[in-house]
Amino acid sequence: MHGTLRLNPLILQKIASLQVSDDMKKFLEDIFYLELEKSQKDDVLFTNDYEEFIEKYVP
Amino acid sequence: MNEKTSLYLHSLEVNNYRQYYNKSKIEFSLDPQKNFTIIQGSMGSGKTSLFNAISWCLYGVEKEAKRLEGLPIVNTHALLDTEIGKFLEMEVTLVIGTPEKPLYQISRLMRSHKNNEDLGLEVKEGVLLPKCLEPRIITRFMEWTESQGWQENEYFQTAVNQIMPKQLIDFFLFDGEELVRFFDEGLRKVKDGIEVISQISLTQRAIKHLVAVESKYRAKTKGYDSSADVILKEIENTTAFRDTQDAHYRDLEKQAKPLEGRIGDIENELRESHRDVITQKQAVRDELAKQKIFLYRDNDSIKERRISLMISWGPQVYLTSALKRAKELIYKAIEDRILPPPIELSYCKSLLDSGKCICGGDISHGSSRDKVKALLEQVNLSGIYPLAGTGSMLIPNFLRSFKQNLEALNKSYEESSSNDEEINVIENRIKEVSTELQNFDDTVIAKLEQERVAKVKWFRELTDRMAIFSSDVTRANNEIQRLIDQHKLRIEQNERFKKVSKRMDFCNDASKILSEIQADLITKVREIVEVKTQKYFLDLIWKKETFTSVGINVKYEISVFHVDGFNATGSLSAGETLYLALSFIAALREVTGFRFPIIIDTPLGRVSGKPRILAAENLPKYIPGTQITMLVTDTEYASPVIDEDTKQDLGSFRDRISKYVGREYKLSYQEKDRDTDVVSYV
Repeated sequence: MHGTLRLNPLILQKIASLQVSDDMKKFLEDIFYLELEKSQKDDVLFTNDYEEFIEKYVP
Repeated sequence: MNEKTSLYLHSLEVNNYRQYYNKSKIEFSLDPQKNFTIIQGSMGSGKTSLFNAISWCLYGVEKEAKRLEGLPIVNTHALLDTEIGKFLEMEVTLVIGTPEKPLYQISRLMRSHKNNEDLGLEVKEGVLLPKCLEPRIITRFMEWTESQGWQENEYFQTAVNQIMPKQLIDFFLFDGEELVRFFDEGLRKVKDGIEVISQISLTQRAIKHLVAVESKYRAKTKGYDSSADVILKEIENTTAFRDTQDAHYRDLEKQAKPLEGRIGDIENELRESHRDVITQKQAVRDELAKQKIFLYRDNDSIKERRISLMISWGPQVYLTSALKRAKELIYKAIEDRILPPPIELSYCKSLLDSGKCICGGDISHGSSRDKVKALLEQVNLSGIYPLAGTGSMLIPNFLRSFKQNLEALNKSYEESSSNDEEINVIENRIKEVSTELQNFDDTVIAKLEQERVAKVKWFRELTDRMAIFSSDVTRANNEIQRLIDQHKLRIEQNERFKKVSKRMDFCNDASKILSEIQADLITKVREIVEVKTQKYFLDLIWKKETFTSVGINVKYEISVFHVDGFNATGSLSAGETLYLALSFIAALREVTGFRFPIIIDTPLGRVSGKPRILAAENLPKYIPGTQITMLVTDTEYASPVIDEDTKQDLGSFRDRISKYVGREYKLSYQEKDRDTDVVSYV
């Protein structure tokens, strides 16, 4: 789903073990992949990108 | 590709790069049993250039450019061959894959138009080039897939970073000559590098973004509630103050970094001076600086011990007077027979059981028995007597252990003040060395040292000011959080902001969770690196009985502990430091999941005598199956090693490691042709 992006397994394990809603877990995982993708492309993330994202989770 | 598969360099081809006129190719050993590739050459033959070529090909920068200062990146023979109006092509191509097959072909080509004959040098495209060249960079990343064969990936840097992130460069390309400073000067770099490669930095970025989005949502609530607006204004002001102080901090940090670099450069120049007396003075200063660092670290751990002692025994400190007074009261009451010792309770009971008073009177029934019974009941119900009994035993124990802990506290103060005294002596000695250097009869040396002293003074002033700004930022952040909570309470009551408030809450919750993840990750990564470094180091080191453990603290400062309990890091030999660095790198490979090949320039430059032979025996045991390339001088590789004690010829490093070497090259620079020949001899 996230292509060839390789997120540190420790991060994924930690998210899975959190006592939070599934939505929050999914959101956290998604933003990690988003940040990873942007960092590897030396690209910059804007607050607008995040806003769109948050509005998906909190309509 | 499986995440656990180790990456191997298949080949490196350089064309008109530095000492290499036209094309030269190195093929690396792909045999996991013979995982060593050796590239041997004398000083200036082009070893470090190969090291740099890899770095330039992958990231467009030369890692050890400083060692090649004053020379252009293009081969001078090729430059002179190129006519005005024609193009000069300089290219580096790297093929990387598994031992079985190549998976990536990475190339960086610099195609330069020669405009004139001006051979003066200037920085273009991040490298030193003759002014006559007008360069253009063309990169290509080809990827092999079973289904489509070789395909170009248009996102060159993304693709490179996915297989070998730039932040890892120090951990797969490293210089043996610099190892001595690997753990001294590079700590911040190590910590930063680990945070990036273990992706801790992603949490920092995500938190930053969430805070920004939350603030944007907060701004949307403006104009509907005057009291909430007042708080918003306060948030804005405090945020502006925080940002100003933070900008000052960063500004100072920017000024401090090159200063720190220049101080390091001056010290390097003194270390490498052709005059022995100067190198010795610098060595003395290095040693003193090391001792000072260890004393500071020792003081840190003493302080930690003291704090935990104070936390566990702190309440007693405040209760001591009360406990002493309670003890006095209980003992006095017992003495005055207001409180009986606990034994009298059982004595009363035995009187009731026997039915006879000590005066001989009958208490088996009647009012006398009732009186004794009432007394016993009163004693049992109030619990005063048993408590007094318990107190009379416990309080002296408490007071005794308090005394012991107080002694431990005092001892810890004595230890740290003795360390402080030692630090003072060391600082005075460092000052003396510096004065000697400043007054040295060689004006170049004297001026260098004077510059160093001025820069150190300036650097300290900057760091002191940075500490003030940093504390302002922390205070402002706390205040902002308090105001945000206050603002939230106000707008929650307003129906209009229900949605925005929900989103702000979501951002806030996510930020808090991310901070938790970040803290957890930092601890876990450090613990794993610590455990793995220790495992590799104790496996590799030949003095198995000498060292017991390796510790890595939160600042990623590494300590090696001697079997007698002291911190032996400062007294490690060059060989032991090499093993410690290799162990640390092996641990990083595991924690980050990046199975990169390792290339070491002059690995044994500082390892001589018997330890060099021991290194040849131990290095093949180091992360088996990992491809290791060593760029070695003729002396470190092929010269016979003589045991200083027995005067026995132990053979050369080459003799000992040969069975693990899959490829071996010799570099030979031809001054006349400005070209290095690469000769394979295995």
